[in-house]
Amino acid sequence: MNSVRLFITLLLAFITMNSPGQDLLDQLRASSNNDPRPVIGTFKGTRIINGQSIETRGKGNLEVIISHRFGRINSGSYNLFGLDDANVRLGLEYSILDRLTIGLGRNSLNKVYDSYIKGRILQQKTKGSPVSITWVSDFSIYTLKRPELPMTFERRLRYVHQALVARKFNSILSIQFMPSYVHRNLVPTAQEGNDLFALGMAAKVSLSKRVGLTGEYYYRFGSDLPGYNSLGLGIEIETGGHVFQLQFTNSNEMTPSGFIPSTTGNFFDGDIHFGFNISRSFQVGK
Amino acid sequence: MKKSILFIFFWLHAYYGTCQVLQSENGYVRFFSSALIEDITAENHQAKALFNPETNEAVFLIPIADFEFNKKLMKEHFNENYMESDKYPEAYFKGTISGYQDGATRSDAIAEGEMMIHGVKNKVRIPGEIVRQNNALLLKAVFQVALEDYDIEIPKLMFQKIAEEVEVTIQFEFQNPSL
Repeated sequence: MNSVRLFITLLLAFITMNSPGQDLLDQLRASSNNDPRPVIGTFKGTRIINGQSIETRGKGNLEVIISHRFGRINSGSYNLFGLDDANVRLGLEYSILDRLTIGLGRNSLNKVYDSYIKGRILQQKTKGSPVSITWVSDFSIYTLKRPELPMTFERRLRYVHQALVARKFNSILSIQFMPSYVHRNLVPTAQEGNDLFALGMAAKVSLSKRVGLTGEYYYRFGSDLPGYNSLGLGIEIETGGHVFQLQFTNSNEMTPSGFIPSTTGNFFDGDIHFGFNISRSFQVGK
Repeated sequence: MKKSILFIFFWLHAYYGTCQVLQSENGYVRFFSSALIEDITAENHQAKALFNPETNEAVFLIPIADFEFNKKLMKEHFNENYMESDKYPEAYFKGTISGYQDGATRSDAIAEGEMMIHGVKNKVRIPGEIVRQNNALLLKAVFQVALEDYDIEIPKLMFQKIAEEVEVTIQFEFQNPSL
């Protein structure tokens, strides 16, 4: 009985002892702070395919984004599977603060000028907030000459507001949801409303540290909607400051006021546009 | 019998309590990498260390995610692409520091042991110095780390070339009231 007690006492003594020979490292680990850290790198780019990701760059960062969408792949070899046609968006975005970015762009299709303000409302943390939320308000002007219509300046304006909600589950998988509201002062057909609600869904699956697969889909709410929901599948490659995104999408336009309501291609009929976004980051401000 | 058991318990505690282990709470670690377009520097103030001057045992623990860069994107690339800090959240050194002379204001010291970075362990021997300042011991070292030794990949397809060796500076202050 006593020997059992003695044994237990010795055991307890050794367990409770702050013995230096035993793992000092574990002692340090136990005392290190476990403060929550922000979860970074949910997406590689500030775009996923056509739409925005929750990412905002650091303060003073200027991002140059050049995007192309070629013609439809099913237009055949005569048209080199769409490569004969291309529409281009030239874009610039500047981060005023770590959490606030403004952007400008010009699209060759319909000669649309777009601008947006993007702000990070919530940052995903290792402990605490499970998601990141970024708000985007997009404002664009359709400047194509339409002499057949009484076009006023107001009729050329379009607005989109989106709440982007994303979670990075691990280094492989990130998922984002994009409840969106689109308002167009002028719609192409009488059956369409000026207001449209849509829910976007996107995901990124990393294949390696710098290469990932992406997907993006916008579901539009409403009946008798013309055209199709926007769908895109892509691959992205990041090379330290550059992000190359190559994608296949049924959308021709690259601004949310365009691709959310006005996608005309049927993806599953082969109305697919090959395209790319190339972005480059420059640190211009402090 | 009860008393003697209690005595053993406390004696063991008291005995080990005399082995004085010094702790450093806000150690400083900096690395510097010269690159073609611009040099890369990052600083970490969250490193911790324990040092036992009697047995020469020392451990250093550095949380990777606490390295701060002047560019947000650099921090992201460092954590995501190079250090994979979600898989390997810490770097450590575990071993001995010899050469410390009791009472000397400055002694050359050598750290010998195992360094783990990016999940890879290597035997290392790092010269440094220990300076006595008021009631503290200041431990300093500057050394080179070859990225290849720790399987940290430098991709070929990079816009910004990164040096194969980085210079690491460490500075730890151990408060020691008995000095």
